[in-house]
Parts: sequence; structure tokens; C-alpha cells
Amino acid sequence: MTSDRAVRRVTVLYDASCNLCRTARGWLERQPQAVPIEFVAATSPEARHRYPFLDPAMTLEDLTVVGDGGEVWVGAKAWVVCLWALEGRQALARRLSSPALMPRARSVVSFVSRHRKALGTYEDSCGCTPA
Amino acid sequence: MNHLAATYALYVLLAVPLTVWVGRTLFRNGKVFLLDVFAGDDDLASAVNSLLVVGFYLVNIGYVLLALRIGTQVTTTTDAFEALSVKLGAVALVLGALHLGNVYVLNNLRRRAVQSSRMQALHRPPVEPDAVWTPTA
Repeated sequence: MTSDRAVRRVTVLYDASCNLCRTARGWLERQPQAVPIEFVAATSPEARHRYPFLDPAMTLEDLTVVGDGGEVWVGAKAWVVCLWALEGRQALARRLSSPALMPRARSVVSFVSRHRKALGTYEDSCGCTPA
Repeated sequence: MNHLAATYALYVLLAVPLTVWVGRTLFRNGKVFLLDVFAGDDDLASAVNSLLVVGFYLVNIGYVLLALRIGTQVTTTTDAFEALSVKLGAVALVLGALHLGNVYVLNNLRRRAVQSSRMQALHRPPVEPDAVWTPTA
């Protein structure tokens, strides 16, 4: 599972019906990127087509990042990868990934993720929830 | 030999071995840093180490010789010891400053090498993926 292959592009699968997630996506998009980040709504036909190996329900539940080499990061790890892909945030990503901070990051991310419907507005209008 | 000449002789006899001792310490221990900086290239590390130590000797022995002259009257043994202690104290301080400067430079070189190897690691995110999907034909 560990390889030395460089990750050159990442694709973020996010919950497009959640306002908070869209805000996060907008923020990520505006930051200068060291590694190009692409955004695809989780459970969208495109996501299903490109990543048939991913469970759509799971990608909707937790932020999922897929690397160009097929690497899959979920939840807090996915957030660390997003930060890592931004110019000038690699040091922060490295610090967050340390054994001291990773458990805390994991609990914060999981808390926000579980309460994201309450923390922002939530709409089902895009029809991207799993059938 | 009068007191002044004896003081000069003693000064050179003590200051030069002191310089050599510090230089040898630098030579022995600097190698490890340089090997790290030059990624284990033994020849290059040895060459840079020798060059650094030669520079160190030249600067220090130059200082020792330039500072030889004692401006005060040295007529008694007490005078001689006082003059000698001032001279040797100055040599020790210069040696110490140069030595610490050398260690600082070596450490900076090393840190830069460590940082550039970290830059290599930047090509991969700091967290291992939860899964890797390898397309099967």
C-alpha cells in the first residue's frame, strides 16, 4: 500500500447538497494550488463513472479524495490531503498528520461531518443523494 | 632571556597547540555533518572538511601572531603571567567564536540538506491512503 509514487492530481468528492461543503469547496478553489484539485459531486453520475470502485453512499458520508494513482483518502485524512495540495499549506498538513494531532483532527472532522446538515443549510435539490 | 621574551615564547607554545587541538576537534566531528550534507559522498566531505580546517588554522594562527606584541612593561614574573593570561584569554575567545561559527555554518548546511529531502517527500501527501485502487485489466 505504501508507494513512492508522486501524487500529481487529486479529485475531491464532496457532498454538493450541503452548503457548508460547497463553501469549503469554494474556499479550496480560491487558494493557490500546488497540486491541481478537481471537484466532483459525490454520487453524481460522473463520480460513479470515474470511480466505480467507490461506494457512493460512503463518499457522501465522508469527504473522499482520490489521487491520480488510485489512492483513496477518507475523512480527516482527505482533509489533510486537501491542505497538502494547497500552495503554502504543506507544513500545516504535515503538522496535522503527526501522531499528536491526527486523532484530534479526526474527531473535529468527524464532528463537523456528522453535524454538517445542522451547521449550514442543506438542500436535496441537486438530486445527488443515492437512490 | 628576559621576562618579555619568555612570555612571548610561552604564549606561542600554548596558543598554537590550543589552535591545533580545536582544529582537530573540528576536523574529527565536522566530518559527520558534512557526510550528511553531501549525502554520504565521502570524498567530497573529506575535501570540504580539510579545506575548512586549513582556513580555520590560517585565521587562528594569523591572529595569534598578530596579537603577539605586548604593549605593557613586563619586568617581573607577575607581569609576565598577567600579560600571558590576557593574550591567551583573547586567543581562546577568538577560537571559541570561530569554532561556534563553524558549527553554525555546518549545521545550516545540514538543515538545508534535510529540508530539500523533505521537499522530495512533498510529492506525496503526509498521510497514507486508506485504500489504493489498482485498475485490473
